[in-house]
This record gives sequence, C-alpha cells and structure tokens, in this order.
Amino acid sequence: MNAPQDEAPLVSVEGLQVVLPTGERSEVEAVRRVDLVIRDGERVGVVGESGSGKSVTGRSIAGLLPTSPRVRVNGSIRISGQEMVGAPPAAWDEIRRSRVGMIFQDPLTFLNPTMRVGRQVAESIPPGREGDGSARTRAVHRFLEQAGLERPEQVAARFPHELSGGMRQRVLIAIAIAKLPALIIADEPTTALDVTVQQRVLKTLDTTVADLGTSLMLISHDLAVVANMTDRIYVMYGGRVVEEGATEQVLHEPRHAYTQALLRSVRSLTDDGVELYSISPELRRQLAEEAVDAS
Amino acid sequence: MTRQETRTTGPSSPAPDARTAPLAVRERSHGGQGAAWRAFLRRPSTLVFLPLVIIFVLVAVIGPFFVTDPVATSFPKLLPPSAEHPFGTDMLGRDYLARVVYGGQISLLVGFSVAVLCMTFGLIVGGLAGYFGGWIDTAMVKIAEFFQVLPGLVLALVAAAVLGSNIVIVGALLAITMWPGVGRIVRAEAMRISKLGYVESQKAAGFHSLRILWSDVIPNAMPPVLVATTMTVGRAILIESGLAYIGVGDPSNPSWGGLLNEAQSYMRDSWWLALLPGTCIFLVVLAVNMLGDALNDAFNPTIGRVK
Amino acid sequence: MKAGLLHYGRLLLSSFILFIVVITVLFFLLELAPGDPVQALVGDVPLTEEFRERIMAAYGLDKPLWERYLIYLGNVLRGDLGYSFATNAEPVLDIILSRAGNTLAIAMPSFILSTLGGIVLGSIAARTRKRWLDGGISGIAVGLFSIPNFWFGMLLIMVFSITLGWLPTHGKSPYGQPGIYWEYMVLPIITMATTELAYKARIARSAVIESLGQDYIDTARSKGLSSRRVLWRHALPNGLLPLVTVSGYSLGFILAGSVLVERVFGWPGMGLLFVDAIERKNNMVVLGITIMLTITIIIVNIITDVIYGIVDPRLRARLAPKQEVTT
Ligand SMILES: Nc1ncnc2c1ncn2[C@@H]1O[C@H](COP(=O)(O)OP(=O)(O)O)[C@@H](O)[C@H]1O
Ligand SMILES: [Mg+2]
Repeated sequence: MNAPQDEAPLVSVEGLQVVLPTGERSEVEAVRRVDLVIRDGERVGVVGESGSGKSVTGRSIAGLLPTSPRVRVNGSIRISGQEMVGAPPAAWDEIRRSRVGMIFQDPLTFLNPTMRVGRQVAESIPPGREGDGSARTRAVHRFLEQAGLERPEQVAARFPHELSGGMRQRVLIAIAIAKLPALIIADEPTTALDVTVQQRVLKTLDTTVADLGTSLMLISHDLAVVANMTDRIYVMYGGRVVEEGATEQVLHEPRHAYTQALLRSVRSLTDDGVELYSISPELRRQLAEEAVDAS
Repeated sequence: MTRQETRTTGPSSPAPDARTAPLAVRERSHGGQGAAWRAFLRRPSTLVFLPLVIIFVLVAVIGPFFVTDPVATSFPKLLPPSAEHPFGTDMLGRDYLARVVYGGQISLLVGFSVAVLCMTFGLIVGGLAGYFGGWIDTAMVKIAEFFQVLPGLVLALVAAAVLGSNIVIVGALLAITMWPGVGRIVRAEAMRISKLGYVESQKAAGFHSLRILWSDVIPNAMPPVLVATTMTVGRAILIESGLAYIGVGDPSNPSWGGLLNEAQSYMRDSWWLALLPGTCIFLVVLAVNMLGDALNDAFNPTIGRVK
Repeated sequence: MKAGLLHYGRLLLSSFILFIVVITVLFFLLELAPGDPVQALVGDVPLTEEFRERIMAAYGLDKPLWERYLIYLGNVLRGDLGYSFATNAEPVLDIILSRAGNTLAIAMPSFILSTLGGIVLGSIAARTRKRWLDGGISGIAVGLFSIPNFWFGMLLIMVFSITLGWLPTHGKSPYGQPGIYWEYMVLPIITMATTELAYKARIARSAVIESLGQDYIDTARSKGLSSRRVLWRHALPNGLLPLVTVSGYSLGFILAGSVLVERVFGWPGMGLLFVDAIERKNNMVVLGITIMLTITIIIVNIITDVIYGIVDPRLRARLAPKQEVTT
C-alpha cells in the first residue's frame, strides 16, 4: 500500500477547493479542501449522497469543470507529478487525449445525437496511434467489442437513439478506453440503467479495467456498487471527505458516524424512484457542526 | 443541464442544515417576482430605454398642445429643419414636426392597442386551451399554425384592399394575426399547471376552474406574456408602418409609415421627410425590443449550472 | 417506412386543408366587401353591361352563397385565378408568373445571404469569450430588426444612390433594357436580407449556446478534442438543426416583405404588382398573388419538414426502416 516516496502517484489531489457560480451573484463551494490519491492500477471508490461533491471532484481531475471564468479552483491536482491547477487548456487537452478517460452517468444525453457511434469512438483514439483508414475502423470495432457490444460493425454504424440504454453506456465505456488511458473516472456509470442491466455493465467495466490495467475512480451514491469493485473508498459529505480507507475496513469498521449511518441505512426505492437514505436529523446536525468546526 | 441524479435526500430526511447546505440560490418562485422587477428596473438598458418610451408616449399625448395644426398649409414648401421649424416643412408647406407628432399618436396607438388586444386574447384563449385541452386546444393550435403560414402582413393587406383601409380595421387585423404568439405561451403554462398535483386536488375538491386559471395560471404565465406583449408593441408598429407605407390606412391622418409614403418621392432633395419619421419608428421599436429583452433577462436569469 | 408514409401523408393532408382554409378566408373577405359584388371582384374599372353579365355567370354571383363558394374553390383548384380587368383581361396566373422570376431574383440571394450570415454571426457571438463581441453582435441584431425594413431601403438609396451616386435608385435595368442588371440588385438584396439576417443571428446564437451546454459536449471535451473541433463537429451540427425550420418560415417572410422592398426600389416583381393591384382595387390580382404566395409557403414548409427529417438522424426513421440491433 505504501508507494515509494520518490515515485509520484498517478493522481494526487491536495486541499482541492472548487467554487462554482450558481447565479448572477451567487456561488457554491462544491468541494472544500479534499485530499485524494489514486495510484497506478488502483481502484478507488467515491461514495456519498447526491450533492456531496463527488462529480465535481471527479470532473476536476479530468479538467471538465464548467469553462465559465467564474469557476474557481484552488489547491493542487497533480497527474503523474504534473501540476494541473492553473495549467493551460492545451495541457488539459493532452491529459484528456491520452491519460484520463471519463464515463458519465446518462448514456443518452452524453452521446452526440447526430453523430454515428463509430465516429464518436474513433474521435477518442489519439491521432496517429492506430494508423488511418481501415486500421482505425478495426480499432473502433475492437473497443466496442471490448466494451461488451456484439456485432460492433453494426453498432458503429448506428446513431445513439437506435441503441438501448445498456448499449449506449457500453459505447461510453468504449469511448473512455479507446485512448488507452491510465485512469478511468466513472461517474455513476449505472445509475441511469435498469437494475438488470446495471450488473452486466459493471461486470464489463470490471473486466475492461482489469484487462487494460488502468486505474479506476468509481463514483457512486450506492455503497453496494462500489463495495465489490474497489480497493479503497472515500466517503464524501458536504464537499468534504469524511472518511477514507481500504474498502474492507470502511465497510466493516466504519469510523465516521456518517459512514455508519450510510451502512445502516435501509435504502428503499420510493414510488417515484427516489432513493432514500434514512439519516437521522441529529446526525445531520452533528455533521453540520463538524463542518463549522473544521472551517 | 439535463442531468438527473437520483436524490438521496428525501422527504424523510430533512434538508441539510443551512450551514452545510451549499450556498446555492435556488430558483425563484412566486415570491421572487418583486426581486425580478427590481432587477429589471436596475438594468442599464432599462435605464436608457424606459425613459425613451415614456418620452415618446408623453409627446404623443401632450405634444399636440404645443405644435401647430398638422394640416395647415400655411408655410413655404419643403423648408429644411430650422429653429422655426425643427423638422422642416413638407411638400404642401405643412409643419413637419406637427405631422410627426400627430403621426406618432397613430403609430403608438396602433402599437399599444394591438399589444393589449393580443395579450387579452392570448390570456383567455391560451389559458382555456391549455387548461381544458380538447377541441378548444386543437382549434387554437390550428389557428396559430394558420397565421404562421400566412404572414400577417399579407392577410392585412388583402383585407385592407378588399374591405377598405381604416385604422381600426388595420389594428383589428394585426391583433387577429398576432395574438397566437401570446396564446401559445399561456397555453404551455396552463398545461403545465393543470397537471400539477395541487391543481388536480383543487379540481377534485371542486374548486372552480376559472379561479385556478386566474390565481395560478395567469400569475405564473405573466412574465413571459409580458415579454411577448412588449415585443408585440414593436412588431405591430413595424407592420402598421409597412401597411401605411404602401397606402393602407387613413391618408388624411397619416401615421409615421404614412409620412414615409409621402416622403418616397422627395428623397432626392428633402432628406428630412424620410429620415425623421423613420428614425422615430426605429427608436420606439428598438426601445420596446430592448425592454422586452431586459424583462426576459430579469425574469429568466441564467440560474443553475454554468458550462 | 410505414411511419414515414404516415407522417408525410398526414403532412400533405394538413397542408391541403390549410390551403383550402386560406382560400375560404379569402372568399369570405370578398363576400364582406361592401358594395357591388361584381365591382368588388374585378376592381375599379368601368364595366359594360355585357361584361357584367359574363362575370355574374362565370362566378355564379346570382347563386346562393355556398354554391358561389364551391364555384370559386373549383376555379382556384383548376388553376383559374381569374382575369386582370385592369390590363385587357389577361389571365391573373400569366401575369403573376411573368413577374415571379423578378421577385425570386432578389428573394433567393437574400434568403441565402441572410441564412449564412446569420449562422456565422450567431455562432461567433455564441462562442466568443469576449463580452464586447457578443454584446456588439447581439446589440446590432436587435437594432437591425427594429428598423422598418422598407425605411432601411430608403436610407440606403439616400446614402448610396443619391449622395454617393454609386448605385441606381430604381428598377431592375437601365430604362428600356431587358433583363436584370446586377447593380440594380445590390440594394434590394441588402434591404431584404438585413432583417432576416438579424433575426437568424439571434436564433443561431441561442441555439449554439444551448447546444454548447449539452452533456455530449462534455463527452467531446473528455476526448481531449480542441475547442474548435468541439464547436464544429459537435455543437454546430446539433445547434443549427432548429435553424432549418426557422429558415423555412423566413422564406415566407422574405416573400411577404418583398411587397414593401419592391415598392421602395420600384422593382417590378410580384410585390410591386400586388401594391399596384391594391391601389387600383384589382382584387383578382390581389387574391391571385396571395394564393400563389400561400402555395409557395406551404410547399416550402413541406420541403423544410423533409430536410429536417434528413438532417436529424433521430427523424430519419421516417424515411428508412429501422433495423434493430441487439446485444
Ligand atoms: N455546473 C454546476 N454549476 C453550479 N453548481 C454545481 C454544478 N455542478 C454541481 N454543482 C453543485 O455542486 C455541489 C456538488 O455537486 P456534485 O459534485 O454534482 O454532487 P454529487 O456528484 O456528489 O451528487 C452541489 O451543490 C451542486 O448543486
Ligand atoms: Mg454526481
């Protein structure tokens, strides 16, 4: 677990603070002094309820925050030792071109509706890596296949709306792996899918990441999703990391009251599909006080 | 923008404490309209263009007391602007300032009354159509489609040609062709509201539908309706001026467009005849369009996520 | 394919119904006209008694309302738009067709210019991070569509023809010359294009801003694509879809607006014919032009719908059968 001191980890986030504008005069501190490390080949889970800052943290690492000049990022994000906070857009493009892939939540809205699937995957292959023409096309089919899509030639010729939800999510996976990244950030990759499809897509993600030997940052509000897939877990609440540790340890000996509550909570689907964590009002008050103390 | 995340806080867990809750300002609801109005009044374009509109209206209302008779041909013909005749005189030796002031009365009257008529029609028909659906709704959609296909200008021209042109007919025709713009907005809002849970329950509880329309639909639809109505003032003035320019309207009581019709043959030597009424149309229409934009920005600020 | 046929069948049917409705409205407008029905029909020309009889018979003016309506409808559907009694009882259709080319000669370039210009300016305004540039383009757009179009044409004449003497003021060619000369086209085209350009720039701007805010733009960025590529390959193709519909309507507005622009420049097209006909109460010509315009607009709308179905892959299913792919 202890990496040698001289070798920089793949991703090292220190004291990350992200402030996003929400209106003409209002803003929100979405992430408040977060420390996070992802080593080569490591699988890290990030859990917490909606709005706790998981996505913003993940997007910060991929340089995919809103481009508005009113977005403020402080602290440090180092990728293989290279400092990315304040880095020029070209440096970020380079990182995204070959180092970091991202899989988003909603497989329909995150695919371009007017572009064929094959081209959307091909765009993600760094220029020149696979040669051109038919070699590139073959590569596209290979990645689609690796992402669990049968008959990739047919799928490549389709538009997103012609595919099922599960297939679209696999296309997003193919887009993420096509650049052969060192890290894949998967932000709620199965939340929008049917329960039956979720397991299969997760399985695909699992094997692909294993085959490629990439690191994984798996973001989910669902502890169960993260439990089976990761080595280490960060628990976030209110823009902070409240607990961090090996997955086993966090699951079996949670130290923080919020994590304990998360584990205890009976998740149940309400009629309109909203999931409820039963977190007691007292705990929320306690967390609030903690937050004030910390700042 | 369209992301939907499964909410993990629900009715059973109270909202996070104010101190840990993100400092976000959430969307405005009913209570926010006062704030939106204040935002509107503070916008720089409001500060410029609201006074401009007010000045034009004032001039149209009280201006006639200060100018000479617009039909008295008592001066030399085609005098360029001077201290005595700030707007010069026209081809028959009439004081052009007086003619522009009186012409403004017609143009503004048409613009504002068409807008008010459109708003009234739009609120009533759009509200009923959206709320009740059924044949009223179908009829309204078809009518709106009809006027989308046949430009109002053409219909107004034909009608004026056949029925004879007077300003009341022109105004009525403009209102008839333009109200669906407002109607559509109200309809959408009424449809939205009629599907909300609390309206359904009020319906069930025997609340009068008209009361719901009055107390829920109309207030909610008001901001976009006001934007559309404001813009309608401008468009009505523009279309009326075009009609008057080709001779539809009352030639003895010309609006700004009618003055431009007269000016057409004098462009070579008497620039002021064409320049001044056109500038007036432009300024008024620009002002109401800018106010419409400002209203729109004030009531629909870009809240939420930026990209 | 079935869905496609159904869609286009329905579109054709509703277009036809719309056409009938327009003719009906026009018919009843004529009915509402005060005074002598024959005179209302043929306009302000002196009539011989014999002529009067002929018109009465041709249009069944002595018959009951619904019969007259059917006769009128039948005439229009057979392509008989009546006669212009102002000019030797020439068939209205012939007169209109002889003028249509002149109108299209300025309307089509205006349409193309305003569409391209609107897209370019709107996209620039949407994408730029320079506030002044966006503000400038948006401000000019509002300014331009607040100008009465015909008055803008008058201003152009006063500046470029009268003051500077660069371009002619009037007509389509030097006196007595056949054909159309390009110098004569410049100002009318600019005048016609301006308002529409401003309008389209405004729509293009908000459409591109909207599509730059869509989720798939994030995916495109996540591939490390340059921002230019993101704009051209992802934001524009999606953002400009609504402009197809807008352009369809805009052609109708340009044609309707030609009535004013042609009057300003004395351009001998359908618009000028229309104005003349209104002045002389030559009602058959007025109605004939309105009917032709309606037909044109309806056809353009159908074409727009077809094009939209082609450029938006989500609608392409209407044209081609969909093959299911399953895993
Ligand atoms: N683009 C954005 N603009 C403004 N606020 C945002 C944006 N994205 C997220 N936020 C806010 O930042 C906070 C953290 O959001 P997020 O990271 O999406 O939470 P999570 O992914 O854990 O559900 C929330 O309060 C959310 O409203
Ligand atoms: Mg999230």
